[in-house]
This record gives sequence, C-alpha cells and structure tokens, in this order.
Amino acid sequence: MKCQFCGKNDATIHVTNVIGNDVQKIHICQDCAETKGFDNLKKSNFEKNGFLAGLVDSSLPEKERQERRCGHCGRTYAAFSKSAGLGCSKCYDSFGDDIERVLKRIHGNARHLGKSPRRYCTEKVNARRRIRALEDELRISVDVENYERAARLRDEIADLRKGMETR
Amino acid sequence: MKQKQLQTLLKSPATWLSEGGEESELVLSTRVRLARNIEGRTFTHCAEASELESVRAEARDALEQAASMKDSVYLDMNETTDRERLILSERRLISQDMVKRFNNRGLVVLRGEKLSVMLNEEDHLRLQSFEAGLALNEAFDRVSRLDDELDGSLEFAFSDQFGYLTACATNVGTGLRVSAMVHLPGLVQNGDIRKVSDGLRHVRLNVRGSYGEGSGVAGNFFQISNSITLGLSESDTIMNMDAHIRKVLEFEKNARKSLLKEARSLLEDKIWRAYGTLRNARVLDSREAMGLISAVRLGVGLGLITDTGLSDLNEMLIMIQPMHLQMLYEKVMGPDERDRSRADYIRSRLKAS
Ligand SMILES: [Zn+2]
Ligand SMILES: [Zn+2]
Repeated sequence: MKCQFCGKNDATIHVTNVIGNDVQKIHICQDCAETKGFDNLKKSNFEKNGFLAGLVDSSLPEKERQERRCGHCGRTYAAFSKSAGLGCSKCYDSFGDDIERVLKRIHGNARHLGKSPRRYCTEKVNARRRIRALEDELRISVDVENYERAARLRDEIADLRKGMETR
Repeated sequence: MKQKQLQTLLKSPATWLSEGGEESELVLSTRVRLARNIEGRTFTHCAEASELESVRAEARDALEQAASMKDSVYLDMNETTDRERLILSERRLISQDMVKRFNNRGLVVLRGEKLSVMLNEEDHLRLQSFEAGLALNEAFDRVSRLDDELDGSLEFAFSDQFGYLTACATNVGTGLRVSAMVHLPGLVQNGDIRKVSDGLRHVRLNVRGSYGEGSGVAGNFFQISNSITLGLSESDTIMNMDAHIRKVLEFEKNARKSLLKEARSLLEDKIWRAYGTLRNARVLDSREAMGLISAVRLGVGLGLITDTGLSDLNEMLIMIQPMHLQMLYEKVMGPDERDRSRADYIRSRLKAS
C-alpha cells in the first residue's frame, strides 16, 4: 500500500484514529509521518471552537444581543457566542438564559450536583441535596413496587420542602 | 536554583509509572483533574498580565499552606526554556497550550508527580493527580483532598445552580475530568474498537486514540474520559466511568482470548518478532517503537514474555519521546540521531532486565 500523503513511498505506518464516532485509518510513510507532524496529531483549538460555536444560539433579538456585555469583565455577547468561553465568573449571570441553554446542550441539564465550597454548605443547600437523593430513592422504590417505602419517602421529601420554605 | 529544582524533578521518572496497580496489564494510568477559578478575577484568557501575576501569587501562597503539597516544587514558567516546557508536557505535567503560552503561568508539582497544579492555564487552577493502573477513586480522593485544603484560603468561583464556574462552559459544574489510558491491542486487531468507542460515546464518554494529551495515535493506546460535568456528582461520575471502563477491559480480555484461540501462532510470531526487533534494532522512530512496545506489552500480558515487565515498558514509553531522549543523552539531537539513540536506549533497557 502506498502512502496516502506522497503516494510514492510504501506506507509503513497504519494509524487508527478514533475521535468520538469517527474512525479514521491513516496509511503513511515514515518520511511523511515526520514532516506532516503526525507526532503532533492533536485536538486543535480550531476543532474545539468549531464544535462549540454551534452551541450558542440565542433567543434574544439581534440588536439586544449585539449590545449585551458582561458588566464585570466587559466580555461581549458576540465573543461568548463564538466559543462558549466566559470572561469571568459574573459572565454566568450576565448572559442569563443563554448560558442555561448552552449548558443544557452540552451537559443535558443545567443544575449542579456534587461538591461545593464550604461557604456554600449551608442548611438550605444540604436540604436541597438531601431532597434530590431522596427523590432518586423514591423513583427506585416505585420501580421495584415498594410502595410502602415510596410513601414514607414522599412524606419525608414533603417535610423537607416545607422546612425550606419556612426558613 | 530553579534550574536545579527542575533537574532534580526530571531526573527520576514519575513514581506512578512503575507502581503497577489494578488492571495494569490493560490500564497504564488514571488521571483526574479539577478546574477551579478564583471568585471575582477575570478568567485567564481574558486577563491582563498584572492580574495573572496576582492570581498566580495568591494561588501559590495557598498551595504553600496545603498539607498535600508538602515537598513540592514550584516552577515559574517565565523562567523555563522551550525545551524544558516540552519535557514537562511529555510528562503530562503541563498542557500543549502551556508550552506555547507560558507568560505568568506556573506549575507546582509534588515529588513523585502524583499530584500537581497548573496555574493560569485555561482556568486559574488545574489540580491533577495520577495513579498507576485503574484507580479512579484513589486519584479523585487525592485531588479532592487538595481541593478541600485550598478551599479555606482561596475563594473559588461557584454558583449554587451551575457549580464551579470555569472559563469554558464544557467544564462547569464539578470541573472534573477523569481519564484512563487503556491499552487495547485485541480490540484494534479484531476491529471491535469502533463498536466499543461508539458504545462509550453513547454513554457520553470520550475515546481518543492517543498517547498523552496532544500526541499522535500509536501503539493501540486509548484515552477514555468523561465529558459531562454538570448534573452528575463526582461520585456518580466515577462510579459510571469505572463500570464502563471495566466493561471495555472485559471486551479486550475476550478479544485477546479469541485471538489466542484462533490465531495463536500468528499472534505469538508478531509478539516475538516485535521483541526481537526492539532488542536488536539500530534505528527506531517513535511511532515504530510504540507499536513494538505495544506488541511486547501484549506479550507480557499474555504471559509469553517474562524477562521484561510492564513498569519497564511504561517507563520506556515516556523516555523514548524526543525531549526525554535528549535529556537522557544530555545533548540536542536531530530526528536521525534521536532514532539511533532511541534504539540504543531500548536495547540497553531490554538487555539489562
Ligand atoms: Zn509519504
Ligand atoms: Zn464577565
């Protein structure tokens, strides 16, 4: 087999390149491997941006979209929509609903579950976490038709909810 | 002074390379990283030099207080040479991006390299830990402990809804990226690698055919990592990944078994030829060397080759990279000379054992 790049030398290197769904077979000679920088087949920023660019599509009217910028760092909406890159932590507030939509597209949802800094480990946050965990258990209980347990869990969740509202 | 610290660090290979670990025949290493930013500060890619400078100083102070980072080395990237940064990136301590953009960047590395922190990379702090073999929990616990220690002295950017806030929307939430470097010659040989990577993609895991971040594809090494960081807790992320990776390893083991059954002599021939070449070749480019090491690694895994071991082979994979070779031979070498030195080095390693 001849090298895919120069078509002259015999291909001595056969590479299976798997990026996500894409399987590429590359047949290349040693010379070309060196000169074409195959030692450096890396995920370029271009590729990353290409993938992310499509993620931001806004519901905002064009004019408002153009004018919008983060009040803290000054990053423009246009820059954000090009790469899904943020300028500072306040951008997450500044770009409002669009952020949420982008996050849903990337991650399938827009609500954090997991660790938090100690300053956020308040009673309220802990209660909300407990509720989410109980809701998971509730779903499982219903699935396995353990209705007695499900009823207990439902009560517990309701109590926690009430407690959060009154606080 | 700085120079000397760097030399000491690089003189010995990372400890995690040679520790074996669970499933070490199929899994080279596990890496876990956490992305963190400091509240109120502009993210790295938008920040002015003076702000980067003060972020770096603040982070460095906090790291000096952290118990996990006792006995660590700090490197100011401004004081490193291009070659030094390339070596650090071959060791996976810094990213390709940091090789090029190094102003006001920094690196703190724990001796043995199991734990390190990049300063002012895409995020203000990138905490990362390495373990040998498949060890997602161990790697996470180590890096999470450091995160807890820093939590007191640094105020991390966080929102109740979105979690840890990062410079790129793809990392927001836990900021957690877990990856395992797996060796899958059986699945490549029988062609099932495609099905497997499709399957992993289906459960939102990434597969990249590569050795190390940003390097080429060779030697049947693949990196499996999570892509979702929001809405999935750290423990669930790790539990899911662990289960899926173990499934892949099972497929690989079955592929190896049926290869042995159906084409034993062909397979053995390929492995022994690879071993023979590695022990006798005078010129080896890195791609060929990786392919041969991959075959020998399979031979060790199958119990055919017993006079070399996995940890030797893992170490070789690091040392045969261009910058490491030049460091080893203490001179600047062009590609041809490197290929000769690579062959020399491998021969000496395999004879000695
Ligand atoms: Zn060619
Ligand atoms: Zn901003």
